[in-house]
Amino acid sequence: MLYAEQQDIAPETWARSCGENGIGRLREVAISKISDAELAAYDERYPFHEDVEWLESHGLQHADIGQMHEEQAQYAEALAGAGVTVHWIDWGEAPMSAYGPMQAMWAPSDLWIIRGGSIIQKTGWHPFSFGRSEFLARWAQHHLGVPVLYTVVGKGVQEPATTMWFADDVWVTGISAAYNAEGNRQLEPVVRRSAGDIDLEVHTIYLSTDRFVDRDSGCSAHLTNAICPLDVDKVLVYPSAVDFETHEWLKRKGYTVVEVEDREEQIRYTPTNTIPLEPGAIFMVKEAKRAVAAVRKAGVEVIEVPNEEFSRIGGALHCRTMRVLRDPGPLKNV
Amino acid sequence: MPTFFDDYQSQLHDRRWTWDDIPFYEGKGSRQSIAPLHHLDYLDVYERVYGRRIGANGIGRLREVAVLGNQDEYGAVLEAEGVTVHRIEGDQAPDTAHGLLVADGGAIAADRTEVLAHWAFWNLNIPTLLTISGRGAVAEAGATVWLAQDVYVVGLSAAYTRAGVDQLLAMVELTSGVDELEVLTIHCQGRVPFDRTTGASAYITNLIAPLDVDKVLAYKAGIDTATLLWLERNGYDVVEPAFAEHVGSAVVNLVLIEPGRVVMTAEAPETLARVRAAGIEVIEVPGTGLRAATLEILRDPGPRRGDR
Repeated sequence: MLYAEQQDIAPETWARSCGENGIGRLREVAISKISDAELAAYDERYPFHEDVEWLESHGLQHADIGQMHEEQAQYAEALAGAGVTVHWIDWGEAPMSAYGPMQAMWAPSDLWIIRGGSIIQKTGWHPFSFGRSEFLARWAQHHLGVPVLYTVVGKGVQEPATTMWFADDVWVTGISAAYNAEGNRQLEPVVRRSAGDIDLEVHTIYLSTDRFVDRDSGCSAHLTNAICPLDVDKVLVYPSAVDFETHEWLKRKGYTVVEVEDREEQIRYTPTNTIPLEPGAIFMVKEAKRAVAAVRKAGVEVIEVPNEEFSRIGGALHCRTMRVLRDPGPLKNV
Repeated sequence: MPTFFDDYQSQLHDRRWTWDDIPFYEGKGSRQSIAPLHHLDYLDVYERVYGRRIGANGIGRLREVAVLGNQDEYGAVLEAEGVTVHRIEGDQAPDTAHGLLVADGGAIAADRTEVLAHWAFWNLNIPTLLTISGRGAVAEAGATVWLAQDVYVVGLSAAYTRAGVDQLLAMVELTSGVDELEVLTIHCQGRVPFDRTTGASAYITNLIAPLDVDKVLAYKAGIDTATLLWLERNGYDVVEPAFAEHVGSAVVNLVLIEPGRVVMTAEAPETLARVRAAGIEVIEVPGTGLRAATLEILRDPGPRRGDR
């Protein structure tokens, strides 16, 4: 419980480079040490196990910790093998949210790091998530020297780490259970400042459902479960999970669109939940075989990462990864 | 050393949780609706997240500050006033208590104050709400002034540019918790941080300070006429510092304990006499630049503009 004693003080200066503002080569990430704390919400010392239906009403599930360990180790190996520096986040024995035992520590993508610092999200779909982004911001500031750039306040809802860069000059946000208009209103100027002199194009995708993930349709509150960049001119999309205007926008912009065609595969593995290594190379969920094949056919290099258990309990590679630093990448609008 | 965060985590872990702790729980088998969560204001949830009240908006009673570890005498004076005083000390501690504005719910950091922001977050669980950023954006957030819960004073000068002030105000307005925030913008005079020949200053904390809900100490020659007119029209008594003490001891740079009670430098006897003559209780301490030496963390809610 005593993080100050458990972990070293960050030696880095405050002037370090940080952030992902595009799809340039991934240099540095943080992922979570998996522990039994992932199961705390089901612990009998709390009353919450008595209503599993409520506990899992947004799609998160009880985890097999052993298998998660194994898959996380393989992911770390794949990242390191690609030359990415991997930091490990230790959540302690029993991290607590504002309203009970914290859940989904395996998903450190709750902190978004862009040029200049991190953004603390304001979550919108489960009480046990209040406090996760805040923990990560404090952790990243102390251990990685990443200052906090902005906190979403007021009645804004924004989970910005699940918004998406398609290029250094194209940022995609959403409206859903995870993002509302006020959250976007607050965040957009912060992102524009972070982008510096780049003429930033902002596109908003209107997502469906009133929950994190709908396991019948494969639709979700997070953009990352609906669409992702593969290259500066290629995207992978689950067509039924994004609005018509987005399809038109993709067409207008000249994107090559690879589709997730298998509904069952979408429900089980959310194939768009990926991490770009660099333009034209991507980490994908190994089990999403049809989508992996379609992406490869589009000329994109795929690094497969086992994600069976993470997928079963509610997330995939993007969720599992706090992106700390990327190189500048290509522009789309040139 | 356990931090505030560690202690709060222990409290959360050890408490007896019930379904009543879950906001908007609608009964067994129900689904957690997103609608009420989307309606929550940050001010409704931050105390549960961080385990503490945060914010020194307004001029209510001062409850909590941080000062540098070497400020023993000053710290003791504040403690004698019932203020909790944290000492900023240690190998990796920042070398200043100045630079952050601790607003309701968290800190607003000027550029180059990340070390102090880190100290506050790590040790006291005070998150950063905003770091002023972007080309041409400068706002010394810690050197701004509250005259009431709903009256906030910023400046335009070498210490605050329009781009920086716009960012600062957007966050202050979102977290102020008042329906209508009156913002005064002092157009500071001159080009340098503190012109000791004329008394002009780029920092408004050297130019104006609250003494009570209807009284301020203000160096008029450093403040634009529109601001002075606003003070007059809104019924403020303006006490002026003695010129030599303003330029010599930055006497306006004071700390308000509560309306009608302030801590001021002992090096300005003539100004202190004027302030006392206005009915204000003054606690004298050695040293100058008291406001700049004090990270104000928490105040009680205080009077609004109309509360006279």
